[in-house]
Amino acid sequence: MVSGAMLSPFTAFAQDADSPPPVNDNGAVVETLTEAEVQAGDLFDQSWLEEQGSPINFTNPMVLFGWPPALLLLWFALRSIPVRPKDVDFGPLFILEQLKSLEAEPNQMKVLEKMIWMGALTGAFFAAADPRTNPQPDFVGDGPIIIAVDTGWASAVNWNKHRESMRELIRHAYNDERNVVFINMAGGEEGQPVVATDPMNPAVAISYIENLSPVPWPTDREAALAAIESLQAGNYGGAYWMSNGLDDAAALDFATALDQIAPLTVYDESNRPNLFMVPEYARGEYTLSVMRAESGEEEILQVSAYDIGYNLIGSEIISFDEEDRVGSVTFNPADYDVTAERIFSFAIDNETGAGATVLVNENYRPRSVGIVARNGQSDTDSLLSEARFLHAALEPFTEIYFGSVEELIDSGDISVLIIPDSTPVGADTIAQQKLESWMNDGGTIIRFAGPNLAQEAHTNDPLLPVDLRSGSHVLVDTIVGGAEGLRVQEFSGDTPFGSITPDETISISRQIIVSPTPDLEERVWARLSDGSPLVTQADRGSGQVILFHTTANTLWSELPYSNNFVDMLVATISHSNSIEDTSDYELPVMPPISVLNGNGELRSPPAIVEPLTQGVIDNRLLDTRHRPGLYGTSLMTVPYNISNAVTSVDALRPLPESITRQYYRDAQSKDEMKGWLWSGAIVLALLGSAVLSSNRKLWGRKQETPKINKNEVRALKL
Amino acid sequence: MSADENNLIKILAAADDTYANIPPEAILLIDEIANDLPEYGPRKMRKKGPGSEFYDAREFREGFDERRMINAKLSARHMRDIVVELQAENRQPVFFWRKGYGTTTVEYDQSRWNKKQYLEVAFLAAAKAIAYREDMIGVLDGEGTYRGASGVGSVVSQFYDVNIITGNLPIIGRKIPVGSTVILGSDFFARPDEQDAMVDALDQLTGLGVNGRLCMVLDPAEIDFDQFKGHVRFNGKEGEAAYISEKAEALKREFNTKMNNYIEWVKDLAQSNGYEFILQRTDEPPLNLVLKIFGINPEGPAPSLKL
Repeated sequence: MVSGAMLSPFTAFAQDADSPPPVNDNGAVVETLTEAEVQAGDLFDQSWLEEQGSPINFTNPMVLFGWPPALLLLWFALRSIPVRPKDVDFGPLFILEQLKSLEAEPNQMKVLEKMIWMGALTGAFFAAADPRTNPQPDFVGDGPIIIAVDTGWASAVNWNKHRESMRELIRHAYNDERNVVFINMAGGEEGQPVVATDPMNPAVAISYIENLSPVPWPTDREAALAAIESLQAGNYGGAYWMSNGLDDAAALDFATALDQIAPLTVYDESNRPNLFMVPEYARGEYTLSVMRAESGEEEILQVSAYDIGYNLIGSEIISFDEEDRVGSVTFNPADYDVTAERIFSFAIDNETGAGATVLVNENYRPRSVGIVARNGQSDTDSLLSEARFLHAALEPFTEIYFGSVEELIDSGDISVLIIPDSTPVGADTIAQQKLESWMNDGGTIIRFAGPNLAQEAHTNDPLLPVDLRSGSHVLVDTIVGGAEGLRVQEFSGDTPFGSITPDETISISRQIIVSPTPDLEERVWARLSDGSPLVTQADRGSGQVILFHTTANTLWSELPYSNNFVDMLVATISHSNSIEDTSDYELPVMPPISVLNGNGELRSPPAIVEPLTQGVIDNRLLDTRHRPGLYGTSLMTVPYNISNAVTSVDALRPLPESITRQYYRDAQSKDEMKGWLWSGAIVLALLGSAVLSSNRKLWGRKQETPKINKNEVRALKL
Repeated sequence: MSADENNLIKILAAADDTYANIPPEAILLIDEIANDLPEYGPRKMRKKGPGSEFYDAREFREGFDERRMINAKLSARHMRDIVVELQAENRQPVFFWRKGYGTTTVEYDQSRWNKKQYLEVAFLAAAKAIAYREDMIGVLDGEGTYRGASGVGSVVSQFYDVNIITGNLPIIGRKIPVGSTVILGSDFFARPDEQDAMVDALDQLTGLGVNGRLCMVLDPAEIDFDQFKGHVRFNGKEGEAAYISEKAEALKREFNTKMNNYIEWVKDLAQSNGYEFILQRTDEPPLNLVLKIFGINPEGPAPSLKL
């Protein structure tokens, strides 16, 4: 149990530096300190004024020591400035000459004008002393105070303000010799439950909030409601709820219950968090939508797209009319000369948090591969069959189906169709037509050469990317490279194979020779060492066809033995479109690759994070074990965002009148008075300058020339 | 007097660029004053001189008056020496003069005439009234005397002719008839070193056998000294050095005393030379000055209604 005595800051921090302070079952630090230790130092480095609860404090009070002498100097300086009188013409000047009282008084600035300058100087000194207001909370009784803090994803936007407000409360508790009870309303990073801590002294409380940060899942106010039941019997000096400004079903009950335990003050958020909805992708464009918690004012948000290296791709503006809760904008990657696959995430500019970030991944959308098998049966039992090599290469990366062309296409789950040479489709015109249609709609066909293709191939075959050599239509070069065969040439960086390093140990002994055409160059993805094409590709409608000019087994080459074979297949499949119909797509178990933290940054997944399953998505689970992030394998990844689980945000509803509701203050500018004082000093100085320049001898006055010279008058007299 | 003659100034102003120098509001005011004068009855320019009618009774001044002028009856009644002056019976030309530069042109308040303008308005109105009676009128430092509309036109011409430079006192460029009436208008401000010259000038005029009215016109600011407050630099109009006061209102009492003394000195100077002294403030209507010139108390009983 925590002692009522206050903790010495030095002792507390020394313990923090060496080892974590001991905690009880609820995570509260248990410390006992002596009165002497408490009085040994100041935890918050407060001034004497702050300790005494003064409503105004000075950050640099030493500056004020220069104020009285400066006033004195200014006073004498102003006395020495000559004044400029009001000029009037006057006839009986000779009478004035005889007055004894003329010029009897010193030629000085008026007292009011002096006061203007001295006010300016005073303002400058007090501004330099950096005064700040020091409002005092209304603690009651003498018990500890309760601080309930929303630490869910929505708190990230203004977390600094939340923490600053908590620091202030702890400071006042320290000055008032009170302990603090915390309720972390989203639970701990490591799965700690939502509980009310035991009272902790302010020194430990400061350490506690320094280690507190927003998490990438929602606040659990129902759990918090249950947690405060343990506080019913206590005597508390006040309750403070650091809310994220958003409403939920338990918000009112929680506030009411907490208010019954101690007078509640709710810190509300004027800058409420927005929710970045899951983007919709269609026809090469993203539709980006952001929901705000309340309407009422026109607003403009900027959203930006980033690649996987967090390099900025482009930005668009989302405008909200007064009545809008949801604003949308279309983001066309082509406008920024990138493909949709390059975009990895979108984020609301200048807004922190997992709710302001969404991950997208057109590059690794679910893709499944169909391998055309004779009679719909796979022949993977045969050690040298093409199907066995293909299955072995792709099985770790994707779902694989075997079947006839019709079966595979009609299933609707196939994004890539591999046609080994052992299952030729040339004779089946129905299958050919179906293949053509499916390919033109976006499907990807990967074909392998071999003896059968050599027999079937003909020019202008839509199911082949290039024309094969004419004459006997097909040539099988049986003596390619002689006994050694040809090596694979270095892959061009412009092709999907650009990142693959050719295996120099493998050789290709046979291949199908293409017929040279003007556009052959741009269709070649890989070449042999003699320059002849090894892999060619051509777009067909929305889809494409890719031909490996050798076999998928070892009949013509050693390629299937090599990792190059796996890499080239994976790269080819990655270049394909995802399946169109995902409605009945059952997401396999996807292990976490990286997850978002509370600030919306990608991090390695902690061990507690569980794989993503269809059940998680369907049940909108979002908690310490199910976090937003990127899940999947190297071939297929699925982003899971806050907005996959949270579908709307609403402003915190009105609370009972007994509850005090106030807004967070800006952590940087709050309480500062120096801005006003500087402004006042400058205004007074300008006013003083204006008065000075208009009333003083800053400029000489040109004497009017009399209409007649006195000597002339004398000469004219009788 | 015909309607055309009544609007003489306007006609002259339209006919000659010289008369166009008169401000339109001054023309209207001059006409108004001249037209209102008959309400006070037929008036002529009374002046002291040999005659039989009573003109003025005043206290005997040692050194200025001859003892034989003391009226025994009045002196006995008032228990002090009283001198009775008689009104001259012969008509003589009337000459106007006003100081047209320097201190009389100081503008203290845009809402009222300066002293020069005030004198010109009053003198022109008086000139019209005198010309109506077919007396000869002229300008003292101008040339010639005229009767009727020509006389008024001459005064207008010479008042507004910028080529005529007037000093502190009139310049007489020709012989004027003995017994003529002169109406002098100015603030009569003279520095101590100029005051002897002013005395001499008036003596010279007296020596020429002329006298009349000495109209000392002052701005209220020069009499009351109320409008100067705070830190003020007083600048002269005649090349004097400027004087600065931090607190002008503190000068008021002493200034008022000195100014009253000066006015008394001018009054004594005028009366000792046989002039009737008139003190006029420019915040009063110019009609008041005209009435005083004709010997009418402007604060007396109201004139009879115009029929």
